[in-house]
Amino acid sequence: MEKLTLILEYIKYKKLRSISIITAISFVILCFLLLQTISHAWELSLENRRDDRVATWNKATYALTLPREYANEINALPGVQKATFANYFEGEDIGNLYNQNMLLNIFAVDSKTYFDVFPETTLNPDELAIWKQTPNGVMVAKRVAKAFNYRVGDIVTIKGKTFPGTWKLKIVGTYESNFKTYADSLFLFSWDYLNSSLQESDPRKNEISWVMSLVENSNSLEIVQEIDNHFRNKSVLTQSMTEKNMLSMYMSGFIGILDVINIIGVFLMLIIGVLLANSMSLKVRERKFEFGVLKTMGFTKQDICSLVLGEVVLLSILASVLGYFISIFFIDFTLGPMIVKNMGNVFPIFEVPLSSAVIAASTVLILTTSFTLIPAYRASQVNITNLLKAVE
Amino acid sequence: MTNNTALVTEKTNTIIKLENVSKVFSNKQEENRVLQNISFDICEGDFIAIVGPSGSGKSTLLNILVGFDTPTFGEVTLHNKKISDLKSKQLTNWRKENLGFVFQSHNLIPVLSVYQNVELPLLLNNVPKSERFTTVLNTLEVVGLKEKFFNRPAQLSGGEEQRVAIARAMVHNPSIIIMDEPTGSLDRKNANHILNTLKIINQKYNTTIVMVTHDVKATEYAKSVIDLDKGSC
Repeated sequence: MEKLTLILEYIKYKKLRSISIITAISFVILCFLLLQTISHAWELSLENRRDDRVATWNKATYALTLPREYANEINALPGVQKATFANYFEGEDIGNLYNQNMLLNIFAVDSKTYFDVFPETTLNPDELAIWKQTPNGVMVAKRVAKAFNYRVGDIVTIKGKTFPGTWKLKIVGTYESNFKTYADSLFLFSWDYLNSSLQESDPRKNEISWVMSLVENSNSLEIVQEIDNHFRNKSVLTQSMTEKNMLSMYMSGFIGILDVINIIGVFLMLIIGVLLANSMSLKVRERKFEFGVLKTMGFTKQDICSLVLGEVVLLSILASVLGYFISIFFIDFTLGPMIVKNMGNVFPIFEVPLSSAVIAASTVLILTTSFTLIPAYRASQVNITNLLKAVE
Repeated sequence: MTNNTALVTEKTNTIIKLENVSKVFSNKQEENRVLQNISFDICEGDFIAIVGPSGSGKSTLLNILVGFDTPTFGEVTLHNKKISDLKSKQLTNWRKENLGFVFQSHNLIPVLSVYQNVELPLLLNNVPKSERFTTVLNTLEVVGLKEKFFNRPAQLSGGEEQRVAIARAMVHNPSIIIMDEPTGSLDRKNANHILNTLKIINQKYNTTIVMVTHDVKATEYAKSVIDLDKGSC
């Protein structure tokens, strides 16, 4: 009890120093958790992408389209179990002010086949049936519905950008993915409804952005090849890739950077450990007479040691808690939504993983305590005899 | 300082006994005999001043008295137990219960208030909280600093700091208070105040005091004086 009082009083006494140490450690924890969040988001994203789902798009560029009948042709290829297609529909809900920070990912999809190709989704079969029968019906991801406060039956007015005009769509159901991926953040309405609204002269009539198909997992790479070979002699060439490879290719440039960033994270931790040890060495030097006095009162070497280590442990815990809350504020509430909005196809989730926070706090605690063992030992070895000589 | 007289009757008369104690510091080149065949007893109620010029071994003697240092030859006995037979933990416990120590300076823990500083030995001796409060207040009253209860050491004068150190040294009713130049860094007026306080503590509470000092005036307050000259008395 007396030791805890002493530790707390020491921390309060040199406020500026204590605050500096806590701030420095918190900052390191923030950096570490940011790096871990990137890593985690990337791994999560990749982990939830499938090897047996193939995306096919216009070989020239994502921006160009494919003829609608390509979907049927892919569906008929050997090894392809089911194909569906979609068009990206850029737009915003002009009547909704609930979540201006979250981008509404709107797709016009083939309502008859879409969820067959995304079997990881959970949805109400009745709502699915209604969706298939309602031309302007919308099936929305539950977390999007929650963010935008959508309820079944709501009429949502979308202002189209790629397809200009005002689109009145009706929420008929919600779905949820078993994995937190990009597919779990969509606002889906019928491609037929979109297509029927386009004039015959519109070049986008009967055109689609891409085809997604479920294929046999054992030879998915061969099927990918097969799909592209099939359209080799057509006017529009295709580029196909499994969902997982697609993301890997997109992220390949970042992997090396992530490794470097992780190494920097480790170095940051080590540096903070050394700085704290240095700070504690200075403190021990300043307080050697006090330790001597405590020894004359009956404090043992272990008591003195635990005073020094206890201070470091307490500072580390305070800094870890502060660092965690700063990280939550900065990453989960500030940076995260921005990244999800702008890079949602790569990082559908960008939140501090609790496991990383525990790792960060433990690492800080272990490192700072380890680096303070020497100053703590020195403090415990303060020689009262020498102190008395110093006085004489 | 509660119930002091009752405790006195329970104590054995001799607290510390030195028999032919010598201390030699040696290195490869030379041997320095700091103390030579020192023998004396410290009994309850004694007020002893140890005097001598610089380098005469005063502080070395003080260290040996309470087991901070070991003699090269001879024997020290604490409450009839040979110090050489005591384990480190036993010695620490003996100090915790029986010893109050006052340095010339650097006595107080700067981060703690006057109350907390004086309370420390009671905490270490597991005195209940309710008892601690009154004991600390009574002890601060003895040294005339009851009103400085909440102050930090930095807010005290040098003399006041020493009086708080004395309060802390006596609060747990130890067998003996050891002081190393308690008036060394004080002006005459404050030094006299401290010495008067010590005299009162010694007479009123029968507390044993051993004081190393350069101050000739201080010896006038002591009941006996040990004059160290080149390591012997």
